[in-house]
Amino acid sequence: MRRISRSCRPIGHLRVNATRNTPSYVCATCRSQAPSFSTSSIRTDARDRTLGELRKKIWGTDVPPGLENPYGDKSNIEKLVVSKQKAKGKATEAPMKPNKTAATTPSSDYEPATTWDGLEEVGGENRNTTNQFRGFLAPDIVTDTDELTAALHRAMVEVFALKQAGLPLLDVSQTAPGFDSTLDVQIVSSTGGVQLKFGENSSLEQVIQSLAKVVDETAEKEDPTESEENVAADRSEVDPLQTDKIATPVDETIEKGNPTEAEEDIAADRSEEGPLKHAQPVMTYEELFASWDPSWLQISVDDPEIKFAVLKRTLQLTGVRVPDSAMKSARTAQSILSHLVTPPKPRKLIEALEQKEDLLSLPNVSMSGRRVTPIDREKAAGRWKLIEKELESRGLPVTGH
Amino acid sequence: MKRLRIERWSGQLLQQQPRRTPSRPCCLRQKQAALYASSTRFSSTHAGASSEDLIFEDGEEFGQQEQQTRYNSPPLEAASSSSKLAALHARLGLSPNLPLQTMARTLVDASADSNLDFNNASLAQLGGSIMSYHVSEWLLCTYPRLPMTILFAAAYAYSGPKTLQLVGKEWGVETAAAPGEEVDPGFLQFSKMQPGQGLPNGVGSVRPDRHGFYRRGMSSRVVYDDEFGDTISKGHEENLPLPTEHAYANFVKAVVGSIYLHSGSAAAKAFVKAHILSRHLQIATLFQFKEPVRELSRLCAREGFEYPVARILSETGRASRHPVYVVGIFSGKDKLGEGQGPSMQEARTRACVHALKAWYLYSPGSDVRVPSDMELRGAREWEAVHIDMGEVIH
Repeated sequence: MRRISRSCRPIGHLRVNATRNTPSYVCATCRSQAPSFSTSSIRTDARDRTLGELRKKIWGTDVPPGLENPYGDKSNIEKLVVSKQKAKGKATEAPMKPNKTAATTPSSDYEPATTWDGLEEVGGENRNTTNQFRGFLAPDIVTDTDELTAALHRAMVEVFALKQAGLPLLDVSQTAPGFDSTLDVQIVSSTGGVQLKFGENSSLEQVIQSLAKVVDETAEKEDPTESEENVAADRSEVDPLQTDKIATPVDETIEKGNPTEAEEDIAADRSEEGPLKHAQPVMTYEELFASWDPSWLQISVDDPEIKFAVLKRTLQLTGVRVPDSAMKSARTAQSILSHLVTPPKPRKLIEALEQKEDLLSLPNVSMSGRRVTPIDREKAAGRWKLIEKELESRGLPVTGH
Repeated sequence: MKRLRIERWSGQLLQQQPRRTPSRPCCLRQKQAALYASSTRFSSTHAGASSEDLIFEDGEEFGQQEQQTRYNSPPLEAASSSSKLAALHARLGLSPNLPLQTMARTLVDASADSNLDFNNASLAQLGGSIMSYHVSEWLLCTYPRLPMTILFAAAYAYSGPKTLQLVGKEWGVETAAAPGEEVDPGFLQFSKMQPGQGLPNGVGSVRPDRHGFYRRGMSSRVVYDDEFGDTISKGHEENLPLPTEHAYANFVKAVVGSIYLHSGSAAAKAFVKAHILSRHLQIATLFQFKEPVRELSRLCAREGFEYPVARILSETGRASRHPVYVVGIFSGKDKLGEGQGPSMQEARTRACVHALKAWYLYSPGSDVRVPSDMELRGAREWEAVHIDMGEVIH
């Protein structure tokens, strides 16, 4: 159907903005592609007259309410604001958005800035580093198989350590992951339940303490309440009355008897040798895994509380999400690990099928590394040797696939 | 087809696979293999030379060229990787005590592999005996008055080769085109008879009275012949081609025998009951009387009943083209049977047939105790079942 052009509408004559507020510059493309809807220019006074007559007819009175030109003029509120600003003589040079100026009431000591020096910055790279957001997940998703395995082992050890200590299991993900003190801890499944065997460089207390929630209550807050001030004063060693006494510089690298995790991190960062070196000689992941009892992968996580805690801690450590459907069916550490580790994408169908243990264990399913050809079927039925014999006896080539 | 060894993929069996030895774990086979070990080399090189003429459409060689087939049946290790065999094992609901290797052996007929250590001949012999024992004891206890001929026919209908072929086919067993080492062990392997070949006639008989002038009576069949009353041929050669139904029968019997060996007699009996005796047979259709009137009168004389008298119970259309007479056979005041026919003679004959069938087909019940029930632990004391002397006239 042929479309009726918009210029045929009678209301189109009332669109005064199009001609009145034309920008001074119109690009060549716009000029050629968007021609004016009217070929003849409508004079402003004639248009206004038409508009006024139309409004009188619509309202049925000689004095119609509302704006004289509802299509072009500013609204009454805008006029009011503009008139107020003009009255105060503080109208900005560049006209601001009218609704914003209406919303904010300018204070009396408002001084518009001319440069951006000293203005508050929002966003960008130079954010306020003191109040930086730290997500629950690891910033980088771990994809390495060894790291994932180590993280799962760590989560298991920590969860079972908490369980052994009788603490709530979900405390495991309260702290950001710090130094791993679970490297030489063995998880052993025995008749009485899961047992943790600690090596030379680890103990239950150490693991529990590494999980303790760090609450810096003595940190001075910006606006401390009176009671908090009292608490801080009580805890501080500095005598409040002798403020001029110079506080002894605290060497943060000195190992404390009971260091918090953050302090440990600081110490570890500053010390020249790595944490692993400190705990034990350099160990590859393979050696590390070999040092663990391989049965730790078969430890049951059937208890939903344990399973959830382990999954949450693993998520925190690695950033890898285990899908909900897999959570329900996961019963051992092995099954959790199988969902954490993404196997490389198989290139052939047989490689994909080989990864399915349940399919391999079916006795009535046999797989072939290549296409099962008609010759294969004939051979399995014992017919191929007859066919070959017949072909040869007739002097025909033995072909097929 | 080069078969994939699944156990090699899984990491469970990481120990080194034993190299596939040409000889199977059997002393007999090893001797045989040692006998023609020298000729094997020669024949395999010959096969390699001929394989160069092969043209492959895909441009790839299908699998490794196997050495020339040396065995007439698949090797033992092929049984564990055959999906067909595992499916059959599972379909029959067999106990895991029964290994797949034995299951594979039940599928190798003596005509395919003449070696008694690898064919099912011994298993079939055992299973056939067990099966015929259970069938015959059930028939005898359930129908204690059956004549001997009907008993033979009923036993044949329950456990004869034709029925066992049906059973084997219902189990989903297919036959291999030709037996050989490369065949999937899930196929029934036997050497098939060529079209137009005559049925193998048994040469001679094991009967002492095999000369023609002796009458082969029913009583002698019970003594000398097989469970169906057929003569047992003397010099049966094992490796001759045989009919498909016999191969299937041997297979089914061998399955029963292997169940007996691996799971015990109770399991074998339950298997026979489930697969053989559960089939319905209309035994009444097996009867064929030559002289029913005389037979009934002899029966009454034997049992001390009064002489049977035929009386017309009702009739219609005597003068019409299709008269119908209803005749009852009475012994004293007891009506033994009733028959109807277009003439009084016919009606009397039918009445006698009905009376005789009613006598012969007496049954104490389908759940009557059989002698093998005494094998159960804690079975109550055996009460002798009544077995009639059978037919009235021979």
